[in-house]
Amino acid sequence: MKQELLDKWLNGEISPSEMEELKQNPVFLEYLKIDAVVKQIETPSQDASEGLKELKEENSQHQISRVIKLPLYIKVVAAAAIILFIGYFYVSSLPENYNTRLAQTQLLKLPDGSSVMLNEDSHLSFRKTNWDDNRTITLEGEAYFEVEEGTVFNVLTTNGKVSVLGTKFNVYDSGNYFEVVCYEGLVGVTQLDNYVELSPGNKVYLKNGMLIPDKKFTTQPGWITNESTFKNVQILAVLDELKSVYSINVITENIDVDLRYTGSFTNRDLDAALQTITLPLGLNYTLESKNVTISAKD
Amino acid sequence: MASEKDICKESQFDKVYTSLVGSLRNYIFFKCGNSEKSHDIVQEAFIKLWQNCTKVAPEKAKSYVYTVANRLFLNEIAHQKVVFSYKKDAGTTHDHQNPQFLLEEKEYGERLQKALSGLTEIQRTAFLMSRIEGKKYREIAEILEISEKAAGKRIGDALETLRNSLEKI
Repeated sequence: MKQELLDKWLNGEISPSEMEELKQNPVFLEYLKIDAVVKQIETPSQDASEGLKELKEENSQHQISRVIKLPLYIKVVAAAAIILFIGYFYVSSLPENYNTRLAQTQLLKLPDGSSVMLNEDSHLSFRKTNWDDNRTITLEGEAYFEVEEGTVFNVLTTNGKVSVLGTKFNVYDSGNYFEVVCYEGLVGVTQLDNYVELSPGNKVYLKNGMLIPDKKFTTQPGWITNESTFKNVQILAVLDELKSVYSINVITENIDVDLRYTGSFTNRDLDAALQTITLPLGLNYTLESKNVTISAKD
Repeated sequence: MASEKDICKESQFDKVYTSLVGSLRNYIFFKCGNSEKSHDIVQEAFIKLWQNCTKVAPEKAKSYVYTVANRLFLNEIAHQKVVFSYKKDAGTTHDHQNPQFLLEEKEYGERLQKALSGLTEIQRTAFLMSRIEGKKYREIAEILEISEKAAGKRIGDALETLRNSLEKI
């Protein structure tokens, strides 16, 4: 009997003439009989909608599903001692995980004294064991780092890797957007085949798969204190930051572009922010919905 | 990040259940021949799917419930005796009224049923999925996690083994 024909029959793909050919074989006739009788076997039939109903009822009643059989219990007690030993070593090598929810930030101290400020809705993990030799953190979301000097400190994100020695920097990683800002020291950013080194006041962000360099004039990330802080920065750069934070348009009229600003403005109140900027510099402002005009006092 | 097909959505879970429950129930039933137990195991597998709905991607639902059902089967009723029975109105293969003939038919059925329980679990499952459910090699291979060729071999072996068992008088 040809295996090929048998396969065709078993798969329900056989033609009448091929069937006739198979029937010439007495072994196949026995197969046919087996097949016919097997099809008489009673199989469970159930209404899927009945089953669904039953499942939901069953699930809503909190059932303690099974009684623990005595032998199993004894085995568990006996194994507990061993597990405690193994458990200690296992647990101490597990990664530490930190998660923040919406509107929640968290400050963490790392084993070497470095600190991390985790912004809202973010996730961070690292291994405590051998931290001094291998300083690696996995990050999703946003965090600000102040790293003590030591071995290379790495931050791994889905979009890229940041490596530093001792420094202060901010990493933002989410979906398709990735941004790293260096506030102090030297920061190395690796993204696929691209590598960029950042010095203070510089940042890099991901756009269309490429790392674009840019400037950042604040002295620390705005989200930490909800303020943008500047030390001796040109007025136009300060206004740029204001534009970005509040999504507004800013027009300047006859102001001295060499003016420099030291101080902070709040990120939560546009009017108050405008006052803190203009007052010390002797400037005026007008605010109409999303449009701001800054002018010199006359 | 709920997508359209998120199993935690009740309508989606219902869809998944309805499309998979029949095959899964038969699959476990073919392994053990116990209608009640196979029902309980399948229901429990789907309850676990519901409880873990946030962790299971929709396209992985099938392999998830099959895996859970398999594990429950091994824990609970593997190694119990496998017995199948026939439908009440099972017609005979021929239209003879001859009592002698009918008796022979009945005996044949008994022996076939016994021979089925003598097959290996994979042979029996693959064989019944093919003959009773009419599943093709490809789907059987996917569910049993073997190659198509292996599936065909199991079924062929089952047929031959059954034939040999039935030949002995």
